[in-house]
Amino acid sequence: MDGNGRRKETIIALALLGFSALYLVSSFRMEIGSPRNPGPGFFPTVIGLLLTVCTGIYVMRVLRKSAAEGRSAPSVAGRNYRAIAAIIASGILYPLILGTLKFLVSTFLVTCVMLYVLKPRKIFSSIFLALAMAIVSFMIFSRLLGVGLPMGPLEILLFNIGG
Amino acid sequence: MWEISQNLIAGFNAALSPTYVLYALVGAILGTVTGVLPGLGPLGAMAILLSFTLTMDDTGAMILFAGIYYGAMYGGSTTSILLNIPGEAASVVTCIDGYEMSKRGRAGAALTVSAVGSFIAGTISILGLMFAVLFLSDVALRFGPAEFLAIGVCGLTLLVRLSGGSILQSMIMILVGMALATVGVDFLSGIERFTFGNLHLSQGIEFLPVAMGIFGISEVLSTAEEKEYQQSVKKVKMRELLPTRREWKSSVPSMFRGSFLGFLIGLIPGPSPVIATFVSYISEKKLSKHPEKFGKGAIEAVAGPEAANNAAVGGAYVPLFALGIPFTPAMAMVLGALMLHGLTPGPNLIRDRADLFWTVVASMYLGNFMLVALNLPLVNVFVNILRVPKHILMPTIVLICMIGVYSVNSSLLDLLLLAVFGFVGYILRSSGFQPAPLILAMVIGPMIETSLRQALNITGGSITEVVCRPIGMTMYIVTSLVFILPTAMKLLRRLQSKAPMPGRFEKRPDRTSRI
Repeated sequence: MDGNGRRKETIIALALLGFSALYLVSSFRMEIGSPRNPGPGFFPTVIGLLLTVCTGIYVMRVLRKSAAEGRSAPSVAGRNYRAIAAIIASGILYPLILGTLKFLVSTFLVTCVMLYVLKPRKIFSSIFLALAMAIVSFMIFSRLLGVGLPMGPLEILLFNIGG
Repeated sequence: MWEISQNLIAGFNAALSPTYVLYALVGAILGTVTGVLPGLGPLGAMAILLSFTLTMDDTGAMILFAGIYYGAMYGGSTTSILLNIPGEAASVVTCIDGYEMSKRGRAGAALTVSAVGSFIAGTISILGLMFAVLFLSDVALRFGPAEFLAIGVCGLTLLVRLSGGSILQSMIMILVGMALATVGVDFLSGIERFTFGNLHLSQGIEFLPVAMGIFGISEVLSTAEEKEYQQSVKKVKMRELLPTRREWKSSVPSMFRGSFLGFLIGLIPGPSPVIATFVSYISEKKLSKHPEKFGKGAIEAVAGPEAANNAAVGGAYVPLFALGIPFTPAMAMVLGALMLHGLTPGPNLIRDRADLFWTVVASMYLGNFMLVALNLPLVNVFVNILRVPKHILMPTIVLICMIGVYSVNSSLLDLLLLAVFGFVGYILRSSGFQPAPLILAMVIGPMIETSLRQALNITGGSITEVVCRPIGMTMYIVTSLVFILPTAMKLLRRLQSKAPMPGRFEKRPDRTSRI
């Protein structure tokens, strides 16, 4: 594993340990009860303890491996991180704008971003494709499958086309 | 027996209705397409379509998912044989000899043997499914909380052992899944757990955005990070599809062996279709009169594993229908679809909703037939799907996931969870974690907690009484053996290799010196 990968593994291990510790501390705040009458905190405490032990061992293993391998040159060759960032950003952006911009505009924007980032040289075809995808998906899901999507004036107009 | 035949006939009557035939056909086609596309497996397809099953009735949803699962096994073999690209994990083994056959101009024969083997396996496993579910659900009616606890714990433990990769990482994933399942209102006391005052979280973390994020979005992210390349697609002529008499003779026994082996392995927790193909390949090689031909285009090495992965699909349905416990991630999706329709699978399902069970079984027969009829003549069409550019396919999948998640509860929080779990799934995958145990634990976790608390209540808090009931105890012992034996064997072998061998490393005592 290269330096970047090792660093990422360490961050993930520590994040998992942090999650386990937070979960365990939160479960202690609930009523644990007794084996005869287990309370709502009984099962989470057992899970939290096991999880903390397992993630603790995992962190130690990762740190020991990092120390043994030492520093190596970072490698980012062949990875399309721009595309990954765009897809995640689109996923987070979508729920934030969907309520305000309604289905067609927000779907068009998000799809356009993804299409353009995945194929940067074709801006016009990205716009055209995004528009087509937004309209076609609206027609399929809203009209054909009866899915309740956020509607604005544009959506109502499109919905009523063709009767 | 008479009752079974009557139920099956009634099932066929329902399954042959135009709507269900259409669902089976759509499932078979979608499954084949996802099987062909590398990166998007049946799990991803099921996750993406999970929310849309709400627009169907419960039986229709089950028929669609069964079609996808079977279809993916068929589709995966096509690209393995023709292009040396396994569309999904259960087709990796087929690449070895299938592609070698293709290079020798026998691709058509390999495809036919694979399709016929899958059909035979599908039929055998459906028969096995019928009888095993009926028997097991009768037995399971006598199970109490202690037994269900044992099934859940042993199932997850076996999953850790058999799912491959690091045991520690799998354990962490299972525990994280169980931890996520505890979020929300406690069903016994009505107290909120881990909600941090958030009203949305009091209903618990929805299974759908987690599953679609971890399997749908994260698969898209994993595929997006790879560079796009154009795949040259080979064409197969119809007349090339017929195997020779010798090829049939070699492959038919392998198909039957693979079918029985696959069905049995399908009953075990873990990625059973994948394990089944490897076990079938190894056993075929051991049984073959010409093991040297394996890896160079042996038709038995295509027939056996391809039959095994299809049979394992039928086997995987047994614990779900009979006990209500999914042992594979794909079955967790099926369970998710059942729960979305307000159904609780388990021993009572067969009694209360016999119509659903028998219609699904009958549709599996039909789906299998459709797949053979579709896959061979349309092999060139399906392979051409690989030509769809990645930059169009990926946003389409993301869009379907987003609309799908939103359509269930019209919740923006679910959409946000989809993105978060998509990213989490991608990060975990890239660090060697398998997210499948997390999903399974999220589904089985509540059942384990309920059973544990009920069992402790019944026994007055005696752990010994909970563990030492005959059925549960047997399961714990068997699971412990499965867990410990491979490690013990490894240690034993290591000790043996270190011990000095008489006659090789030691000098024999000189008898003459004694005299």
